[in-house]
Amino acid sequence: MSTLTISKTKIKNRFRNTAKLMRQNAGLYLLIMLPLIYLALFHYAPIYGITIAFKNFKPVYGITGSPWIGLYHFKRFFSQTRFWTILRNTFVLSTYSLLAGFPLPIIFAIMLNSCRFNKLKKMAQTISYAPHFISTVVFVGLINIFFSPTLGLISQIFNKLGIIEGPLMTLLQKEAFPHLYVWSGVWKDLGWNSIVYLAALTGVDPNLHEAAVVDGANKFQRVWHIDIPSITPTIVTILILNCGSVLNLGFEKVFLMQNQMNAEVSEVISTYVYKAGLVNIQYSYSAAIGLCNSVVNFILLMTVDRIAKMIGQHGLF
Amino acid sequence: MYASRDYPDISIGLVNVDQAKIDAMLAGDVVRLNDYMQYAPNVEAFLNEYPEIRAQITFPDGSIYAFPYAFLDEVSYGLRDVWLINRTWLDELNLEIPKTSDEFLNVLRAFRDNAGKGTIPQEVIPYYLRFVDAGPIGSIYDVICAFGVYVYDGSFGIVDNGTFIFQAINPDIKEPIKYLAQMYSEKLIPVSMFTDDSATYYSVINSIPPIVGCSAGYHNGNNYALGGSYYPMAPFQTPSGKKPYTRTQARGAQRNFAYMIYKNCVDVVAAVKLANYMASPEVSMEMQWGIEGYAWKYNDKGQPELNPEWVRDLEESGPYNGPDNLGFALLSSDFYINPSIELEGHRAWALYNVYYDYLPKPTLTYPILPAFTLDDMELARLNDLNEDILKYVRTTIANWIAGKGNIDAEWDAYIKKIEDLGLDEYLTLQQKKLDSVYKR
Repeated sequence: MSTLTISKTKIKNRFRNTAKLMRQNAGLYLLIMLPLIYLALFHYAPIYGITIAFKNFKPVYGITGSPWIGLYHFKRFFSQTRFWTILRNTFVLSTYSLLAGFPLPIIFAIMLNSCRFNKLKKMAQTISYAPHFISTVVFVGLINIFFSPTLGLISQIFNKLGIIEGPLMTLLQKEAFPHLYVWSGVWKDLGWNSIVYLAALTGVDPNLHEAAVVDGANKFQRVWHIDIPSITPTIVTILILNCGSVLNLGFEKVFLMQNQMNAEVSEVISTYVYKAGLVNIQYSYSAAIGLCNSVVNFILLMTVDRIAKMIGQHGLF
Repeated sequence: MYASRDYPDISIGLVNVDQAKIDAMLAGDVVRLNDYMQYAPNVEAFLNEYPEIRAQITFPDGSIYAFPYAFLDEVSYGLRDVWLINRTWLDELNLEIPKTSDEFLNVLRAFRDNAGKGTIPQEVIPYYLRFVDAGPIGSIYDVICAFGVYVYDGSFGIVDNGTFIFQAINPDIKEPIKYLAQMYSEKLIPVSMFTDDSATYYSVINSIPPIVGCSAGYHNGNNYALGGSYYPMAPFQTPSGKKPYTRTQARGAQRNFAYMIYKNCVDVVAAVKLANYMASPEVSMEMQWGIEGYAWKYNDKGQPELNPEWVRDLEESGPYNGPDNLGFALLSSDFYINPSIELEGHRAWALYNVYYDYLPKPTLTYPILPAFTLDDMELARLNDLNEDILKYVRTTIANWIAGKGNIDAEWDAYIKKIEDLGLDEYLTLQQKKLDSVYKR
């Protein structure tokens, strides 16, 4: 009996304390309410809409009014003859993007951080950030103009230098498509993606570097033993997040870069959803594919997170 | 709008969302117009005169929910594209308009080899075409049709007396593809044909001074009839000995649902009367061709007469243009005089003087389909098959043209692959879709 009374008082006291703390920090709670409302309204409430993946959704009947159809759209997607091609293309492009696009910004950030000449550093930053602000449509337009078979800049230069003779076939070769896609992406976002690592590097304790200099460490050793270990948590977090969106290959760029000659390797899930689903006003089908996509992404995210924890790194949760 | 069900009083135009419109009609969001026809005598008269158009917009239960857009002018629908050749260059090189496939090749070679001489620019493109996904404009189909294989667009689907025919599996298509491949390997057609977008296409074929020896299109501002260089060329004879075709479009309402009135419209009668006003021939003239006084005028006898210069003025006088096929009009060419028919080199003249003998018989033209063809599940399946089969067909043909692979050696495997992708089911569904027209 007595223990129960004690624990009850304890709970009461704790509740009172919490309430008191909340009153004291009312402003902070109010502040966090805004993002919470945002999340609830725009990220959790719409989840109900997923049900249209299992329905024959017609906008005029609404989400609740459309008839149930079971797993029809999922079966339809998995039984597509091109299903495996599309899945493979998506994985190839996103994995390649990840492998090529992930380490380079880290190296670039370390290089910038280690650069002694401030003016050069600033200039390199400005130049490398600039492409990020070009819109995708304009960017793909640039690729098409530069790589245009006969009149393109690169074709002209290569012909003048005698590297190739006749038209430049890059845009027409399906083998070239993944490389063009990935490396143009690296060029566009290298600088921008390095910002977060650069920020992490500025947080490294200067005392460590001073101590290392006193101990006679050279520049490379300091990078290897101080800089990289310091930003490892950032690297791991970003890697996990990137792995979680492997199937979420951006739509616009792939779609805009598609042509008849690379169709075999350039059809990915997002472009397929657009063509098979949205163009033909088949929202349910699009939703079903999108749902599959998210489930795979979620599994990947959890797997990588678990692996990170197993090898002793901080995970996301 | 259809998703939120937040409707205006009326909508005019709104292309490419027929399925969403049909769903809204069936859900009762669109006013059923059958009871209001007495307020639209112009529309009623037009539909009575052309019962096939009435059939096109009428639902199986007899309901009419929308007025169509119909522009019945043979000069417009009768011919898809005019195949144009640069007559100035032909004259400079002392050449004739080619009449056979070999002559055509020789003319293109001459354009290529004389780059930089006379008015032929250094960067000349002997024959400009574009390999597009589905669209019918300026693509490879003019060449395929010249070989006597009728193909209208990237669907490769045509109809013969009500039977669906898939020309992508017709072995006769091999010859024109080989011919295109030869042109490609000799650099007579541009490498960029697989990558150019429509904006590039229009700027290249309309370039002044011309950089293209030959191209195809609906209009060309640089037409011979208007003092320009491009002259209509008939489809050439080929060694196949088959009668060449030129492409034509189906006659009928170009849009099934152009004018719609929604349930929250406060005054349906007024909205129907507005439609009736727009459907009068005079207003339809302005909707279709443009403002009176610019695009057309009343002649001395009081008849509406088109201005043949109007094609050239299109770009400069945008504000005076009619909305054309994006608006609402019910117009037949019986109402006006088109003097362009007498103008040598003009599209209208070319239809009757160059192309008429090469038009396919009307039973070969794919009809404009009515609103209802297949049910939801069948439509979904047909969409999937379309995606799979046509994607494969187009990619394979593009590769053959670009000289990758051997069409003779790979033909059987190509057919086998299409069969594996579901050819039989595809043909059955396409046929069912057609039957909705022919067996109604």
